[in-house]
Amino acid sequence: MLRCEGCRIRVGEFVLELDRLQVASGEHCLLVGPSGAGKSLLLRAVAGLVRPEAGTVLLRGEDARDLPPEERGIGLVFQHYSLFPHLSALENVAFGLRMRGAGRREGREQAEAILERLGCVHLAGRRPATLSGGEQQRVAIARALATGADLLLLDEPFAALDPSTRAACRLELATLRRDLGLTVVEVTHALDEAAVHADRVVVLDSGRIVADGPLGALSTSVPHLRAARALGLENLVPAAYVDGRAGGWFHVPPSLVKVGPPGLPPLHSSLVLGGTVETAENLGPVSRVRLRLDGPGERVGFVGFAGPETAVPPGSRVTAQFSRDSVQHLHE
Amino acid sequence: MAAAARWRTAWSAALLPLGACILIGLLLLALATLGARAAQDPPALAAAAVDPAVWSAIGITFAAAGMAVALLALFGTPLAYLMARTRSRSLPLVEALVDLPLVLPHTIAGLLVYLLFMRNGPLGAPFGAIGLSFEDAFPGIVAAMLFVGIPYYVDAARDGFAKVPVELEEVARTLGAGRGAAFARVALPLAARECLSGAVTAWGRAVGEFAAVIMIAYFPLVISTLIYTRFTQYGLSETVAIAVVLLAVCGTVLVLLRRAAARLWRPDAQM
Repeated sequence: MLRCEGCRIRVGEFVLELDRLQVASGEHCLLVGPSGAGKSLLLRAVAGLVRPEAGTVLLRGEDARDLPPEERGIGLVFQHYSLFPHLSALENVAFGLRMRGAGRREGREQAEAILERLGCVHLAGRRPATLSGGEQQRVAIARALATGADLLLLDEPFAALDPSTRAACRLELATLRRDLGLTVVEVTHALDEAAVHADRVVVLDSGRIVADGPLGALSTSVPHLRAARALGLENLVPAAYVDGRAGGWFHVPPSLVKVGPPGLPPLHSSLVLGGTVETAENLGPVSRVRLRLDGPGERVGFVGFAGPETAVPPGSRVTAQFSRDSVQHLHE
Repeated sequence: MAAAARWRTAWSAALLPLGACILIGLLLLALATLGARAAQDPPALAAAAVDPAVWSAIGITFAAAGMAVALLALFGTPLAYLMARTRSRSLPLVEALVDLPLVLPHTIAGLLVYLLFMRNGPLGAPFGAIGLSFEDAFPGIVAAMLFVGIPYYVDAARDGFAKVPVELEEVARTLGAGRGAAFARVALPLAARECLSGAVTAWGRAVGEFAAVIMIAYFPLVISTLIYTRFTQYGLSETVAIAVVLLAVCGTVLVLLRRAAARLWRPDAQM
């Protein structure tokens, strides 16, 4: 569906360089990374709103580098939805249809049909200022899809919603994607939530792709520290804390760390680190514990899970135990 | 301490309305003084109200001001849009150039217009070749009003376009609108309120223009020129009567235009 090769996109002093990015048809690809990494710029370049200085952009197998946004057949939804405030919800959805030559009545009928499909036809006559965040988000997606776009570019579209509305909207998007065969490229900071329905994660940092792959594989096999940080992974520990080595870093997935009382003997092929509890979040059968590791350097935080048998009040001494196999060495 | 705090609160609460009242009071006092002066000579007021020369001057003034504003909207709207959307190092220079008529004495503005549009001026000569003369002619009045109105319209319209998030136009582009359609269907309607407000202010400025107009076109008489000639020929009494007629007409038109602008779309408007 989308392929970028050797693309260099410059906006002012910032340069985004994409050696290779490929999104298959029907795929839901997440773009993650710290603020200023170039995620939104990448979406704008795919939408044709910014022209790459060099490289190739292929959309549906065809060169799209010189194709204007109106001819790309894509839908774009921003964080604040960018509904046209002077038009009703129905007129917003009909906008693209009218721009593509539909008559007034035809446009209205088709817009009503897609609003019906998204369960928000009752909002047709209302202006965006009178809609809730979730309603605006639905109308924005209806508008993006009304023109028959098969590639949806989403720039943090759920960030302004409350958690329950966000979850409902994500589910609706996943259903739409499946039913309509959509390809979705989504910029997000909420990786945990977004990953539930996504196929792939592309990690950007300082204008470059630093990791690319299925989330499950990435979280246990990030290639280097920069990618791990951009991915927002927890438990990034200097090697000196784990095996006394001077250089390098390690990553241990929090789900594989068991927090226990102090003085616990290490199990076979396990590593044990001592630390002090900073916070503990009761999740029912287990507690998610954030502790400060004892160690040679500056304060290092570490996250693991404690069973009901372990008391974890803040300030108490504990051990964090994990298998040597779960430790992943990271290049700087 | 509590008494001092109460005193400060009461003083701050009184300060705002007091400040507002001073300017409103000044304007009302000016109108009342004019009205009182006109009331001393009712026959002059009645004569001015039916004087064909007065109504001819009002007609010429309104027509020229309307045409100047129409031309401002035609050429000033794209300029304002580009100024709002451009991030260029030369933008401050363009902004200063647009605001130049604001800081120039209007006689100098009139001089510039005269130099441009006189018979052998850089614009007057080619227009003269196709039969359009500016010296002592209606087009000259329009040119002078247009020149002094540029900052009033362009600045207001630019502020309007700057308030329209660029994302709205970008979304419009992805929905199938070309650059022109995104401007016409999204940016322009959303900035219409400020554009109309700028047009009303520029129209008001044009109607009141005197110095710039007489430099190129003393005739046909616009209302400000008529008042000046009557003042120098007949004195205060007749001038006051014409001023009252003009105030009544201009005040009515201004109120109607402001009400029309207020009825335009607002972001928080409910359907």
